Amino acid sequence: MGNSKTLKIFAAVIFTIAIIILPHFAGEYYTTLAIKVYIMALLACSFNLLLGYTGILSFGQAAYYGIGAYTCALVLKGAVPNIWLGLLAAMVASGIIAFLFGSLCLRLTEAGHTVYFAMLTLAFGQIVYTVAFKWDSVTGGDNGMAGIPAPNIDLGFMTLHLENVYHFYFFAIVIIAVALAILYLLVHSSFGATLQAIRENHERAKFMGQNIRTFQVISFTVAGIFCGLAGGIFVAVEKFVSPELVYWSKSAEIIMVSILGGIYTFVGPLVGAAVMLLIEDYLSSYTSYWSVFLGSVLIIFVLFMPDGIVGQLQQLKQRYSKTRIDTSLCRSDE
Amino acid sequence: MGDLAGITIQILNGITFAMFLYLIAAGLSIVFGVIDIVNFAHGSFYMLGAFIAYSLVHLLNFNGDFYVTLMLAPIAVGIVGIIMEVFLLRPIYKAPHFLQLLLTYGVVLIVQDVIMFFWSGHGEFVKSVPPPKILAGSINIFGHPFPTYYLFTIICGIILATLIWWFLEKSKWGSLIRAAASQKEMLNALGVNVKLLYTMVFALGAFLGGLGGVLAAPVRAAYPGMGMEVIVECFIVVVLGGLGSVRGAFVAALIIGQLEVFGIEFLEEFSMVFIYLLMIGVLLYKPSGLFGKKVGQY
Amino acid sequence: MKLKKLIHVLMIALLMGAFAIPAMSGPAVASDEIKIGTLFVMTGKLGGYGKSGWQAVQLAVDEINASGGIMGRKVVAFNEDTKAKPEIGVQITKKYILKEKVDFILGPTASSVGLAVSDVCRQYKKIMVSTQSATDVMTGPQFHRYVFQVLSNALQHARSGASLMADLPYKKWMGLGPDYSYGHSSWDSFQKKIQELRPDVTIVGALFPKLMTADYTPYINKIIEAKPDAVWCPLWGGDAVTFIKQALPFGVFDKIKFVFPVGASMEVLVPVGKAMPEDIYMSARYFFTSPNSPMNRKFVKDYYARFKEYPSYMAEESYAGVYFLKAAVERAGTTDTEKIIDNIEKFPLAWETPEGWKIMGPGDHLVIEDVVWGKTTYSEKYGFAILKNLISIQAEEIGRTPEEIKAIRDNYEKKNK
Repeated sequence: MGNSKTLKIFAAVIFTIAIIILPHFAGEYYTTLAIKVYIMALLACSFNLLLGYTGILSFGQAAYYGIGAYTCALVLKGAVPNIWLGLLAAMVASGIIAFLFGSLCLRLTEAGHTVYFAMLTLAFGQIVYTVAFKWDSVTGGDNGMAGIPAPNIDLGFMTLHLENVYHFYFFAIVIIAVALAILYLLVHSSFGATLQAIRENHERAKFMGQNIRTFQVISFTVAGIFCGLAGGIFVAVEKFVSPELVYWSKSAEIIMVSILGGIYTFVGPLVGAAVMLLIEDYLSSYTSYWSVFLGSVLIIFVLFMPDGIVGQLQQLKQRYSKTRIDTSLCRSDE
Repeated sequence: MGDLAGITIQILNGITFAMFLYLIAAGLSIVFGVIDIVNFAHGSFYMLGAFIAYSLVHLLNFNGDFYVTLMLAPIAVGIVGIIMEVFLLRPIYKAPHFLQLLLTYGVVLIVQDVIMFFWSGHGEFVKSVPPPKILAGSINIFGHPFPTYYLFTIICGIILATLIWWFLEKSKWGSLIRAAASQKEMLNALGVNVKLLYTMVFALGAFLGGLGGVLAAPVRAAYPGMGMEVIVECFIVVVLGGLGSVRGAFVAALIIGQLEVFGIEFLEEFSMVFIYLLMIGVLLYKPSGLFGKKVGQY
Repeated sequence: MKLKKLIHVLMIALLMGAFAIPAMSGPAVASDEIKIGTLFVMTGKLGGYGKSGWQAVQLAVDEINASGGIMGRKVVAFNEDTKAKPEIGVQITKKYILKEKVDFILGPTASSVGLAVSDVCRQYKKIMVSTQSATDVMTGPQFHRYVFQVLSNALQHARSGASLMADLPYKKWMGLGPDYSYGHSSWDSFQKKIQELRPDVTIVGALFPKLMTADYTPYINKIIEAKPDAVWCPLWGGDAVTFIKQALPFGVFDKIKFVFPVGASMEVLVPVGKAMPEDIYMSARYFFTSPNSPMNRKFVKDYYARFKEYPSYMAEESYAGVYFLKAAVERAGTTDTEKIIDNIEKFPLAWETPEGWKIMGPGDHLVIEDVVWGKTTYSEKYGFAILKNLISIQAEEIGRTPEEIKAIRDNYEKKNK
């Protein structure tokens, strides 16, 4: 066991170093792509807090992503173009709206049918889309908002020029790493344990004296906040935002990424984000019919590997180390 | 707002709109009620119906026989539905809802590209399907011309709604389908082939989706992406009417049709928002929808 | 203990990474080919514009290469489908610039995509030749020195339409346009100009359905109820087709005069075919029957021989766009972005196209050219409606005035400070 733990730490260090030195080899295009992978990872991970840990299916996470993106864009284009202020505003705005929507609509999940809640979130997402599309004077309508500046950050010993994608890369990985760490600590705390208890069995959780709805609302709000953060980072790197970001197919993409990687595990959605965006980038250079591949991959996963890539790997690992199944280890992977 | 005649025309427009919606949503609703699957690919059936109709009319020169197309295209879509049910859905009936949802989304992606692949080579980007000659003109309503084809759609919609109602409520198969919706174990025990029943129900759903597509094609033409556009509205119709309630879908479609038309009439800017707000409002007040049975029964 | 060590390692790695940044941005390797990245809408209702555009680009590139390329260098063009989504346009443009290392960006169908792509080109300092985005915002409020609009834009069409319509008896006007930059700027400019020329005109409303609306029925009835004399209708491509077909049975064309500032494209005329109502006012940036010049005759013949269809105005504009690049590069004697721009701004660039000579405005980077208007009439010969009574509105009347250009430049200089 100790051996395995050392191995894990070693792998983590290698992985982290690889991420840090990646821009040295990747060039500007792939560095940008890498940032987008991390953004998608954050989105998928916060979505997974809902589906994988809380057991509620939201079909409208793109709404919070979009709210974050538009808020941050407005701040950056406004009087005080400060990236910290932009990200903070993005988190606050999407957090508040997620909280309001969650506390209004989450009671429907209690009735036992996830589909109603999924449809409500879908409808709400479409409302946000319509507003982004129609509120021309603020959001730019169908044109979207272009030319969003990314201001410099003075770190004291050096200045980060966020217009430079390599500089932005380091800014983004630090922010996203912190966000992921917070999410990780959250799901491994007693709060996370309660969420999973709710997911597994509503009645029992209620019996144990937990207020289910409060937990669900908190979870929904946290997911909203991090989706908003992801949106804010996206706007700063892409320097562009349009209503397409909020359309329901974006929500579907987030779900797809999570399940591809595997819900019920923390790293699953992260792996899913990387796999999906890389496949998309690779295929779209060669053919315009790449979504047929994506659809097929999706169906294959649902039919044969419903636990996703990471879930499947864990199962394989268990099968090949039958002699010493260490249950505690498997648990801690969750 | 104009005069009485103008309002009448707009109401009729709303009803036409509602009939398209109802035909698509009815299939979605039946499938949900019986099989308990939220089928994102239902919009793809609608799109397939329109494109197959286009091909039948243009390539096979069924131009005079729009009515033949009206039957053949939905049957073709129904067959696609059977294939999808047998090979893709059957293995995952026991899986969690979100996996089923995702699987049907995968089908959406595939159908989208398949349509682009097969139907993009003709160089014609608005794939219009001309209505038959008798229906191409317009009739007079209070001195205002109103397209004959719209009237035809309304009549078709009402006839089909009656047929569907009769089929579900009065026929032998219908009673089995309703039984399957609430107690499948019992049906199994009685020796009914539930698997076959599911396949047939799914095929019926696909058939209706395809029919909606064919009927809509002469007005809206066939274009990639039409499925994605329509599916969200259909979900709203189904959820608003009550999941699994075909009657509810009819009423909800009528409401949404009017809301759509008069939303544009009075407040063009935010007409779509009304529909979403209505749905959220109804669900919060009555979570099972207008005509739904108690939640959790399925 | 271990954790502390780990954090130390990570911190050092991060700092190393951060300090190594400046070393990484080396100069791009100059290749022998001149690369043009084009972005068109290739699928869906609006795909006709993209198809025409991409066909014409291929034709132009092959012609140029057959006659020795540009300054002896071979030209290659790439194309990707933007699906009329600005977000996808931004992604493709970045890929073109950063990965494919293209020299020029050309095309964007749909102004929403065009504005987004134009902004990316501003950031990366690449020349964008707009052959299909016609909003005047592009060379107006959002002007920057890297954008060139080689097609007559919304402003020119609106002003020409207004000066034509001012002589006609229509007094109650209404607008119906797609809900994005082009639709709004077309209507705004038209409304302003017609009221200026004809103070007795009243505006009874304007409707803006979404781009690629499936069902225009409620809008059609709203128009009928408003009872305008005439409607300014900047719908284009498949949207115009859908609208005309849906509006026909309601009899709107009998009572109300429709004016389509970009209606006379093959993408509209051919699919509507015989059903096209007679005597609708339409404008085109180019109509293949005119002018009767050797260059145009050759262009129409070659285009028809290769693609089995008559060139639409979007084909001609995109063809003209490639030749604009050829003329610009050859006159400047380099593919260097800044030098080409300086060269054009110093002295206006004129180059020959099938529709005649075009001149690139040195101030606002908008082409100076006439706009042709006509009325629809069905042609047995072609099997679709063509334009009759062609009138060409002179470039001087419809372009930006020197004061307007100065205001745009001043605004740009101010933003750059």
